[in-house]
Amino acid sequence: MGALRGDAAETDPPSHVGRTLTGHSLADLRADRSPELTEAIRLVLRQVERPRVNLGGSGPPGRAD
Amino acid sequence: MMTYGAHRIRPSEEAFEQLASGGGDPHVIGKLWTAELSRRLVLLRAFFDAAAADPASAGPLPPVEQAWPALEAVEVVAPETVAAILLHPHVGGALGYSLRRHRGGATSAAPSWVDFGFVHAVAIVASAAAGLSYRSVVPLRDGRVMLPRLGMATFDGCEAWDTAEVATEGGRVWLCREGVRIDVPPGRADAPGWWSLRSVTVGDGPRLTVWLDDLDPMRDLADPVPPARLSDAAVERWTGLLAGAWAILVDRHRPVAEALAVGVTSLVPLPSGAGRDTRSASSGDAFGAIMCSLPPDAETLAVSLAHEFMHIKLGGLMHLTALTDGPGRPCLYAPWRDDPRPAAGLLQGIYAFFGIARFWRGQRHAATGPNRLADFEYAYSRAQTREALAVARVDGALTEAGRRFTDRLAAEMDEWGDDRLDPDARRLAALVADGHRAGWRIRHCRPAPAEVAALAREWRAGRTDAVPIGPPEVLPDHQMRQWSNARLGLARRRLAMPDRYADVRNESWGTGLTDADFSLFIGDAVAARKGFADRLGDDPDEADAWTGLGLALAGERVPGGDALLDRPELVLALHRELNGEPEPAAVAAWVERVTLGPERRAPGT
Repeated sequence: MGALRGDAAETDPPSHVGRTLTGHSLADLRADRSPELTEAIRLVLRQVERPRVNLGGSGPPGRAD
Repeated sequence: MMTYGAHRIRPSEEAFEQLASGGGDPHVIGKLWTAELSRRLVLLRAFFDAAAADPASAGPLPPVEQAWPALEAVEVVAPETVAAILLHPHVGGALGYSLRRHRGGATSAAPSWVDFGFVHAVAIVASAAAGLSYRSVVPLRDGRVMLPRLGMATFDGCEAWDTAEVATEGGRVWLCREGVRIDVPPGRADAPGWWSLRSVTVGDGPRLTVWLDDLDPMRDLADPVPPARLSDAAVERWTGLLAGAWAILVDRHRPVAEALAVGVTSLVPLPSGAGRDTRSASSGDAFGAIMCSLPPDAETLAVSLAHEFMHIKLGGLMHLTALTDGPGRPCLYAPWRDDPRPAAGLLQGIYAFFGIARFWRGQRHAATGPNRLADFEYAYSRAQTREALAVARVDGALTEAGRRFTDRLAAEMDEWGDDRLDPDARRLAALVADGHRAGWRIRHCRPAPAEVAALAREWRAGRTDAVPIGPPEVLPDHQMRQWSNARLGLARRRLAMPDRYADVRNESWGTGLTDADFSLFIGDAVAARKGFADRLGDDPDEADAWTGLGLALAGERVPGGDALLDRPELVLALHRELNGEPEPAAVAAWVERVTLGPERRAPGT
């Protein structure tokens, strides 16, 4: 039992990430109605609407960015 | 500028400087992860807002909003757990895809609850990792559901879009559907109905650990894809190649390896392509993930990792700071692409090819003996990057930050100027680069018809006075997306396996090569000129014959070569205007003599 608990894979990003969820809790985020968050949402939505995709290759016939 | 947290997140001057010089130490990469977490939180909030606005977001599942308190509960006891799962690359991919589809940017036959419902799987995995009890219902695609970072459950006999109950208690996870129960086994084991997400660790100081992800439906670049489970032998092959690639990176490119060990958490095997091609990819949504087809050797995987990691870093930076004013119109010359590129894409390519050039530079320095192929790869990618930097700095719609970024990158490359190169490798790299630029122009650039008509009048009058010519219009020919592989392959073969040079015709990518190409690449410009001239006699519209003729004339250092390499579209247009009657080389020599103006290379160079 408990096999998955604490299964901190080494694939995790650096350990300092997430200790405070960048200073705000999820509860804060859920309740946030601030213009700053509205602006941040607008920005990330613009980013996901134009997703950046990189295709690469090596050796014939590969060629891309 | 991003985004959510105690402060607006901007890269520090130090971080910007490091990234702009092509680097970024582990601390800087850690900062990019922190920024990415902030971005994912904003995406998560946008995701929940979108679900609340979509009456079909729940379907047969619990309301999407039920997952939020579950995540909050995990955050109280194990905030790192929430961060780790939100930062899983393909959770980013799922958030991006769901929002894109919700806003009409992607189409799918799946009901929207299948997309939105993935957050219930996120809540289960987070709860399990924190040891909290939780129950929910998750969507099934063709009977399958991915539990991020854990693995994939598969139920038989499902509808295309179906559901399964899922629960966790004491760290254990199980799923149920119509009396069938799938228990997620401890450790990383497979079980009936369950494929574990494998991870691979290579090296020892620095060490690289990545998910070897053959399961996640969001591991591809765009739409959800089915699993492509690797056999045990394939996993062994991948592990061996990754170990070899990692040894190369650690031994010869240690700063890259140290940063990559922090910045890359997922390696997605792609289906192998035809021939020698090794394909790789990455996306802005899935920060930290690299896709790659099985490479032929460790060195190819090493350069692919170095290449895609550059994209990952720049993608992270561009989430925080605009380097170009919008994506721009696809009208710019990118020396590694056969089609015109927009400004943002050009900049991504510049950064990636800087990484490639730096890789081959390191490989050359590490070699114990002559390595003409590495010299070629270095010379070619360095030339490509320099030329693209020049394009971007003139026409690349750079912001002030983008200008600082490219200036710093260019300064870094200036330090490479004294590198000694094998003369044959340098010659072949220049041949391929010049031929590609000319080939791009003759396919995608159109001179002004009035200027062509004026040139024709001057030709017919027998005059040789200077005629001012403006830049051409770039009109992307979408039928011309891949045309340059053969000469590149020929150059590589010439250096790597000269005894098998003539066998190139038997390769799938080499069938279009002519005798003139073979002459050109062994340095017989006279024979090449005659061969390309003969081909133009047969087909005066053959683009590769025009550019080959230009390369041959330039090789002979006789008039016409510069015009055909710098303005092939103009020479071709004039030749057509003259009904194809004059000798192509004569037209090229005349154009070279009469044309004036600053526009001497590809637009912006």
